[in-house]
Amino acid sequence: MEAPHAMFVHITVDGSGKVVKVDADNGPVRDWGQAAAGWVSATRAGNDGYSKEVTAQTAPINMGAYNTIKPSQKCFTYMDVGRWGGPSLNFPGSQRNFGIVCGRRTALCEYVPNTSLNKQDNLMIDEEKRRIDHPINDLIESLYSDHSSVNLMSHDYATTDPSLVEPERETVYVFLPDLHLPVSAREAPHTKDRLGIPTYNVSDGNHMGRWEYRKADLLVDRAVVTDDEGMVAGVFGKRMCMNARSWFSKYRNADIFGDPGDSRFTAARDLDRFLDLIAASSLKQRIHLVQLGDMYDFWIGLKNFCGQNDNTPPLVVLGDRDGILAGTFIDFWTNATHKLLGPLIDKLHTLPVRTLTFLWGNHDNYLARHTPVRPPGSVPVPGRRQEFREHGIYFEHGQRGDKENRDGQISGHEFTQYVFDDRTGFLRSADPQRRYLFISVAAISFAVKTDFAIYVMGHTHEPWLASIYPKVFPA
Amino acid sequence: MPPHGAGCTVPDDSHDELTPSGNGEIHSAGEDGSVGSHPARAAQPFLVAPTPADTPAHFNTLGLDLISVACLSLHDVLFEFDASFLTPAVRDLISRLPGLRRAHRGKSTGALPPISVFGHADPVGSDDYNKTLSGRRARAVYGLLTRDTGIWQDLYAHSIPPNGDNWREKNVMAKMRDTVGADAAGKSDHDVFGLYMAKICPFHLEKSDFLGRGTASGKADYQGCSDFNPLVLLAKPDEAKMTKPRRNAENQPNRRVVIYLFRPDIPIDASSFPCPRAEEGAAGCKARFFANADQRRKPGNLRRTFAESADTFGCRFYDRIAHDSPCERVLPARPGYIWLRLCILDETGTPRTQLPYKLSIDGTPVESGIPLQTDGQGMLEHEIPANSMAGDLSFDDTQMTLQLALPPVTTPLGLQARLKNLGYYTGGLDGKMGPTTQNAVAGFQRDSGLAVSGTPDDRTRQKLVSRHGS
Repeated sequence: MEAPHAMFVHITVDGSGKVVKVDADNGPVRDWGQAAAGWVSATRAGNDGYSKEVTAQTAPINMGAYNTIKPSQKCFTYMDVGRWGGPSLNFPGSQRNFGIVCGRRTALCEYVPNTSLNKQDNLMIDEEKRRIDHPINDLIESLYSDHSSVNLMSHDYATTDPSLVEPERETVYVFLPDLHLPVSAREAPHTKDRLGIPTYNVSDGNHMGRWEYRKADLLVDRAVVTDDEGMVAGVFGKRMCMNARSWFSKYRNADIFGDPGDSRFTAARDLDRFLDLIAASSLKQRIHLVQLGDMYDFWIGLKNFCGQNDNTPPLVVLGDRDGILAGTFIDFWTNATHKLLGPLIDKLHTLPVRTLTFLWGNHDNYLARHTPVRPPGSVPVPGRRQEFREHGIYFEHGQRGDKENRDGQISGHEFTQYVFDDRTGFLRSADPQRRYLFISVAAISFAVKTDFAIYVMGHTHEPWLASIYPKVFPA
Repeated sequence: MPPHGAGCTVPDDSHDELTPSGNGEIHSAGEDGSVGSHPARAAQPFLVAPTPADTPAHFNTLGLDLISVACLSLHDVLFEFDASFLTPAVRDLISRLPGLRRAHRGKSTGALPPISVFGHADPVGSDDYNKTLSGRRARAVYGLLTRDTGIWQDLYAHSIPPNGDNWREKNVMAKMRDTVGADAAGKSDHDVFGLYMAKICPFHLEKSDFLGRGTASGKADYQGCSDFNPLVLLAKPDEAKMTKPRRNAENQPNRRVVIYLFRPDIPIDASSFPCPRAEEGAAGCKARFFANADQRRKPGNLRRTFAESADTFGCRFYDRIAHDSPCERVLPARPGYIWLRLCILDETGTPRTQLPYKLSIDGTPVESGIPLQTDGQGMLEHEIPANSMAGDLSFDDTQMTLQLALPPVTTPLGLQARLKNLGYYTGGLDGKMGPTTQNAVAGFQRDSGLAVSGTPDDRTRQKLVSRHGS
């Protein structure tokens, strides 16, 4: 188990309380301005200062006993829940991350199927190595079964002054991170190219606007097995998408949409079992399950749907791109998607816990403005929230501070898709500033208003738990 | 985790086996004396000259440095007043010597460090008298450690002419019989010496355990340093106004016997040891003086201490042995005074060094003739009247009230007070274990690498005392 990281964030504000500079452990943070900030108060030392009343011991000898004074410093727990899906650049294995928060305690966990981990090693314990009596431990234990274990990756205790905020202790928050359910839609009608060879790039693929498809045109071997994300190994070992037809048929069977019974693809099956265990937990009436966004990849295909692709006629011709357009688009894709997602997504939408909250992320942010219509008799798609900031906890998808955030835009969405490109993905993951940027955004939010002790996000796909100590200095 | 308390020496009250850190530390300190480990000394390169072809007989000689590794200081209160007779109170402190030696075994050979005993007197009286008295105290300690009743019988039989350090006059035989109790009944004086020694020192060493290995009539094994290496130099104007008892009390820190442990496996030739024998005069000491030794030992207009200025020793050789010794930096407060020591850290736990501050005690400003500032460890240290109640401390923009009475850590109030000083507790000191206090305990546990329970168990309290310093 890894101890939580600890990090100071130095925030400098001008005379009007406006943030003018942010420094993290590794130097100045760039592009934090994406995060909206309010008025921030500062002190010369950057912290809450020393106690005004010190109780000191005196002694007849000048060495040995002494007294120590140290200033009070606000802090909060920062948790990035990571991802539930297949391999990524920094995580070659499958990720099955989830988070738990209850009261002041935060646990970053990994659901481990088909492995029997020692339960005692994955519970919070006291100095005598006795199990701490806490709902987080109860829930972890309930997620152990004949075919699954839990790896407690790290845990923390938020110590922000209770006079400022006291996290509610009754609710047990369970966080599901980015799922990135792949796009699926109607199977495209076959067309033929100029040589009379069937092509499959009408409704999916090219028409979806996922530009990586184009570079995979050379791939003809449709027997190739995709990985968990429907990708295949291309030249020089690079992961590449299949061409349109292959993409659709392979991706449909791939993680996470794939058939839970298919032995090759496990993320969907693991999620299915995980949800069953949550639903069977004795704590279910205290559970507030949160999906942190980026569940539907709705950016994909939008460009073509909007009729902005010169080579392909639009599917729907609409005038209002900000309103009707979005709604129609979502309905179209939701209906199509749900046919293939089947009971797994319905199970998530109707899990018998006390509260279910779904956020929208940067890949499904159109859900912020529209609740998809579903056929009569279908499970309705729950509404999406942008953030949740109450009871001493603040959670959001996390793209708010991303310098490539495209929230509220209907153009420029291709930038979001760049992350699927090998080079962009690599550069982003190697960016040392990226984590500091998101932490700084959370720290600024904390400095503006200390109404939370725990901050939770997804977005980066990299699980991380830390204690953050914001210091606010005057310019 | 943010670091904490990096600049403050954490006392170890454990009487079990010691684990020296190599940084130099006091393992215990009290009115009766102190036990400490010296900082590890960095290896210095040897400088050698090439031998020219035309002078093949030339060569280089390398002498291994005598390195002191630990100390055990016996304060004046453990001796009969103005005498070399050791009282039973020495038992607790001297019993730590075997453990201290084991903690400083040679790394490669496992050999125990040899020891040598250095007696010191105060500046009252002549150099020669002080040399003799300090030598007798060192010899008495040596006799006790080796359980050599002959040495004590000799001390008993001979005073310092005309009548100094007179054991008979101090009636020590009756005191020894009283301490030994029923076992002394019907025993000869010779036997009582042995019984008393065994009573106050539960172990004994061989003469070969000492630096000179007992080969040269005590040379290098024990010696008196007279008043040549004072820990305190009284301010001349103050001293002139003092009564004799007051001056005696103020000089008490200077009257001590320090046992030094030396790095094992460095043999020395006792006959060429720089210190004269305990019985010899002060001339041999003065040959080893700093050129400005008189200046170093001269009282000035301000009180000076070795703990603060590190330049009060007159003997160059002793200064080399003791300069970094934590035992020589322990200073009992003057009569009627107590020490206030406060370590100021920033929020990362880094000491606030050279931090200017103002301090007043019960409304009276503390002044030292120079602007007050914390030392290199972020520590402020002042002798304040023993009946002080409260103080006002200010630095930067901070102003705080010091309540000069810290409840025990076992009480909720003592727990809250320490947590508040360390920035974890921001509520009022009400002695109630409410959510705010529990949260502060949890925060402290988290930052201290303890399991977070919010409950102050023994280990948490122990760690809290360690980090707070008291």
